[in-house]
Parts: sequence; C-alpha cells; structure tokens
Amino acid sequence: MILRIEDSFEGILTAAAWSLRNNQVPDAVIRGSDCPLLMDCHMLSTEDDITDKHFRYLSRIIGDKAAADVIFELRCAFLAETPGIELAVLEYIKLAVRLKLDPSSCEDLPEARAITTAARRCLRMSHSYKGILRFRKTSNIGVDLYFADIDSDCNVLPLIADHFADRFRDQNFIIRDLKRNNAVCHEAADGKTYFVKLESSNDPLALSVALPGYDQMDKIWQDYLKHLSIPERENRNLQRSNLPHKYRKHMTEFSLDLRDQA
Amino acid sequence: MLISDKLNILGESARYDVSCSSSGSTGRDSGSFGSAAVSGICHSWTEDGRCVSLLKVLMTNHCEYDCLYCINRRSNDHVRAIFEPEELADLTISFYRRNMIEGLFLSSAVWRSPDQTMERMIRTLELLRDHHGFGGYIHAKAIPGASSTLIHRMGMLADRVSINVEQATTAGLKLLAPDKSVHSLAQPMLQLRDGRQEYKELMPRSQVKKQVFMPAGQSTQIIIGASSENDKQILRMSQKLYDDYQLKRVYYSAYIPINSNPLLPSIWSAPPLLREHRLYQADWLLRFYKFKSDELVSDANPELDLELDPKCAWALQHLDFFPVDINRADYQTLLRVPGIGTISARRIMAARRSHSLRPENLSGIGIVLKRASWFITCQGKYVAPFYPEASKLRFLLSDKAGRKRQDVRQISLEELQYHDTAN
Ligand code: SF4
Repeated sequence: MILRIEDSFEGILTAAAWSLRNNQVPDAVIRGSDCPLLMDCHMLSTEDDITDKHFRYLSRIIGDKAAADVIFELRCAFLAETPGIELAVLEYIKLAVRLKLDPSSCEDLPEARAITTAARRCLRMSHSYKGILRFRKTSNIGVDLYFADIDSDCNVLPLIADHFADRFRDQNFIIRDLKRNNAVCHEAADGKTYFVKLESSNDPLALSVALPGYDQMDKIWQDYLKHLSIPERENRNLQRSNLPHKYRKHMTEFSLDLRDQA
Repeated sequence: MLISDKLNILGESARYDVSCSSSGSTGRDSGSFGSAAVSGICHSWTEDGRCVSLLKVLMTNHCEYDCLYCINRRSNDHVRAIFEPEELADLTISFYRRNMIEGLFLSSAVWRSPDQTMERMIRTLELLRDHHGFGGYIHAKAIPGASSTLIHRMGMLADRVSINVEQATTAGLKLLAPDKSVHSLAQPMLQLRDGRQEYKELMPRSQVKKQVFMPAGQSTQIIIGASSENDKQILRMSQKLYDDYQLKRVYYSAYIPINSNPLLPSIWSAPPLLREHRLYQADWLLRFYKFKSDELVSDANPELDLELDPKCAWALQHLDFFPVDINRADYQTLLRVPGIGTISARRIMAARRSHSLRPENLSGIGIVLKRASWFITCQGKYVAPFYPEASKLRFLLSDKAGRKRQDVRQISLEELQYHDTAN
C-alpha cells in the first residue's frame, strides 16, 4: 500500500493516524501530487485538527507534557526536511505508545533516533541562524525597515520567527527564506508577525530591487571583527569548522565587495 | 577621531580578554526591545576561530597602571582612544538591531582613577538600559579599587560582572601587576557574591528565577604562562573561586608575548595554547563532573598531562575503578568514564528506565566508544575488543592516536556550552 498525502506536517500526521486506525504499515508514503507509474496510490486528505487529535491520543497514554514534547520533536524532525521522515514519524508515535513514554529518552533505539537526530539537527541549525542572520536597514520606503535573507538547509524560519519577533518587537522587519520562497514579516506598530509566500519577483515583498545591498554599519562591523582577531592565534580551520562557508553567503562581514560600495 | 577608528583601536585593545559568553542570564525584565538567550548565541567567528557573541570593547585604553603583560600598560607607546558614553551606547544599539551581537562586553583600562573609569562605564550602561530601553545582554568588567557604591550599581545594570584576577599567585600579581592588590580584586568579588545572594533571598518564592542583580553571575580570567605558576596552583584557585566566591566561569588566557621584559617569557615564545586547552578541560571537570582539583593535579604531578585529556589521565591512574557497567552504574560513576559526557550520561539514565542498553546501540546514544569502550561493560560483556596493557591504553587514548590537536585546543567556548563535549 502506498499512501499519497499533502506535503505538510499535518499530511504526515494524517498518514500516521490512518496507519494506527487500520493497524497497517504502508509500504511508502509519498508527499505531493506525484505517484509512481503503475502503482496503486491511496490518496489521503489531510484531516482537520489532526495535530490536536494526536496530542489527545498521546496525552491519554503518556501525559500532557510528554505528548506536547513528542509533537514538538516530530515537528522539528519534519522541518529538518530529511528524506524518509514520513514512516519514521509513524514508528516514533508507535514507540511512544508501546513504551508509554516520550521516546526521546531512548536514543539507543533506531526508531527513536531517526526522529531525534533529525529534530536535533533542525534545532541546532535554528539556534545558529538566531546568531548568523544579519539585518540590513533601509529607510528608502518611507519607514525604517530591517530585512534579512536566509537559505538554510532545514526549514528554520518557523522556529526562529518568534525569537526575532520578541527580541525586535519595536522594529519592522522581514526575513526572507530564498530557498523556500517565503518570508516572515513583523510590524512594530501593531506587533503583528505573519508568514507570507513570495509568489513571484513581482511580489511586493520580493524587495530586492527596492532594497539597497549596503548598510553603513556593514563595513564598520567588518573592520571591527578584523581588529578583534588575535594574529598570534590565527586558526582559519577552526573558523571554518565553526562557520562553514555555505553559511556565510548572507553575512555582511564576509561580503568582499563592501569596500567598493562604501 | 572617527567613531569607527575608536572602535578599531578599542576593539583591538579588548581582544585579549577571552570571555565571549552571553549565556546564563535568566529572568531580567526586558526593556522595550532586546532579550538575553539562556544558552547564549554566537553571532560570528573571527579569523582566530573564536566566537563573537558580544561587542567586546574597552571604554578607553588610557591606563594609569603598568601591568607588565598588558598591551595597554602606561609605559607602552600605543595609540590611545576613549569613547563618549553616548557614542558607545549608539554603536551597541546599531549593531544589536542588525543582529550582529547579543549585547555589550564592556571593559576598560584605568583612566584617571578606578572611580572615574567606572562612572563613565556605568553612564554607558544607564544610557543603554534607561534611555534606549535595551534588554539585551551586558557583561561589564569592574575596575579593581572602585568604590562599593559603583560596584553595586554595575551589578544592577549588567547581566554579568567580572574582575580579572589575572595571576594565580600573590607573588605573580606583585611582580607583574604591581598597582593591583589582592584585596582590591577579592573585595569586589565578595561584594558581588553577597549582593547577588541578598537579592535572591529578597525575591518571592514564585519569582526565584527572576534575578535582578547580575543574573548571569560573575566570572574572571587568569593569564596562563606569563609567570611561573603551575597547573596545580591555577586549578586550586579556580576551585576556590567556584566554591567560595561562587563564580560562574573562570576563563584561561594563554599569554601572548606582546611586551619585552626580563620578567616575562621571551617575545619569541609561542602562546601555550595546548596548556590552555587542557586547563579548560580540567575546569569543565570541576564544574560539571564533580571532580576536585586535587584529583587532577597533585604535589607529585603539579602539571596537567599535555598528551591526554584530564579525564583520560585520571582514568589511567585509577584503573581499579573500571570497568563500570553501563546498565548499573549511577550517574556520577558514568561521568567518570572517558567518552561519556553529561548529555550521554543523562541519556543512559533515561533509557535505562524503560529497557536495558545493548552493546550495539551504545554509540547511538552519544558515547564516544573510541575512548569509553576500554572502561565499560554492557550486559556482562567487556565492550572493547581486548584488554589492553596500561602503556598501550595510554597510547590509544592520547592525542598521538590521531586526534587533530590544533583544532581542538581552541574550541569555541559558546559551542562548548551548547554541545556536550563527551569528555
Ligand atoms: S590595569 Fe588593566 S589595562 Fe591597565 S595595564 Fe593593567 S591590565 Fe592593562
């Protein structure tokens, strides 16, 4: 049996619910519209309130807190975008039911580790992005606006949005995820934070054209960091292992062209 | 002088202070913007591989004192600068709003007098907290010899306050920092400890986590290798600072020869980076593994073994303690096993509540089997492939067995806090 589901966390939870109710493990779970040629795919529509249903089911067995932790762990694993996570979600829920506890405490078991490893990777990456994300400021559009671009391997934006909305609550900002074409916006005036899909380059939020590539603080920051480094301890290997090149793309201190733009 | 020029001069002057942490602050009421993250956040890494979390800068590098090891000493011919409090507060806010930093690390040389220096620093912090409504992290250095009123005020404004003891012995201090007395260093540390305790006791039970006075506690720094102190003296002092002064962190800074003086190591000598790394590992054992300094260094062996990490060195001297059984040992015993860190020990304890661990699943739980296997049994079986002789085991555990020494010795402090080291 192959299940075809909507490409979302709720879609995956729907597949897990189907499997638990029918006491049947599907051979594969496929997200989106593509179904392998000549294969019999069973299409599942995403159930309403499926996250709540799972929470209620789990909390009867392992308690509210552990159930909430399990759902959070699964959500982080989903956001890690690791291939094959669909069946791992089902195994993880079954393990919680079988052991009557939050399986994150059983990392020696492969069924638990598939989820905890993915979730941890995503959480670590979101922690890193809380640091390496850089805002540039512009007043070109009539108000002070801070904007940042990311293109992270894991889908960290849903996990970091609250951190920035709380920290910069009096600041208008936009963080664009260039890899997934979406963005989170925060408006200082009413404290609202919301996600938007960047449909095309004509989208008002696809602001690349309106936004300057340079902020006067960029070069000051870059020069300061050069002076902060101790020459006698230079260790670029360590710098690289802490901050691989792929993360530096949107970090102002690593923009080579700052001098020309000044 | 341009503000950016001041920043470069005063950033360069501050770079030998190794503390970079922005962690450990809980419960301070945030202002109109900004916050402190309990686990701390690294924002960048400089070319020396160190994490940048805070805007680390001096208020001024004009100094009345003449500490032999310091680049800012009075007798050095050195470019000098001083920030106006408004300039530094504005810079901090500008960097913070762009998410370049977690906050400010403000230190200073002694400008005119300890009190006048502290007043200028405090003015900067007041501008940040009261005028800008800044709720981010602030680490401030108290100036030895400043009045107790100013020390207290700093504790109210900063998340963390530190006073660098710099030397591990009184003789070292007298010789290398003649303007500083033991009393001028110890007294403010005790005042800060007591102040923190008093505020803690004043808080209602429901809000014990809301610490208004120096919520991230205090720390200090010791320079390694500028004088003749040994590791035993250094670790004993660290132990005392943790136990009696209730410090949160002791930082170790390998002395980098900047000044030429017959009392100092030659200007051509290399900074003792590996020794610094071993001290950090030993310090980790004091803080999180319940080791005592006397277990790691002794009168007979006053220096840490440079070829082995201190926990492996301890294990080799206590082979009769091993092997321990993974499914039966208590938490503290597990922590003594090389290759098992605090996180893997917790995972072992948690997993054991529901089932017995199997040898083939041990690496999945985070145990570094390359080191741990020689010291553990699991389900009645010795985990390593053979029982080695002590000399062979020493080789297998040492850096010679293939670890990359250059890269591990300057491990980022913030990373150390965030990840388990599986010591
Ligand atoms: S008081 Fe501080 S800045 Fe001045 S010389 Fe001594 S260590 Fe350097």
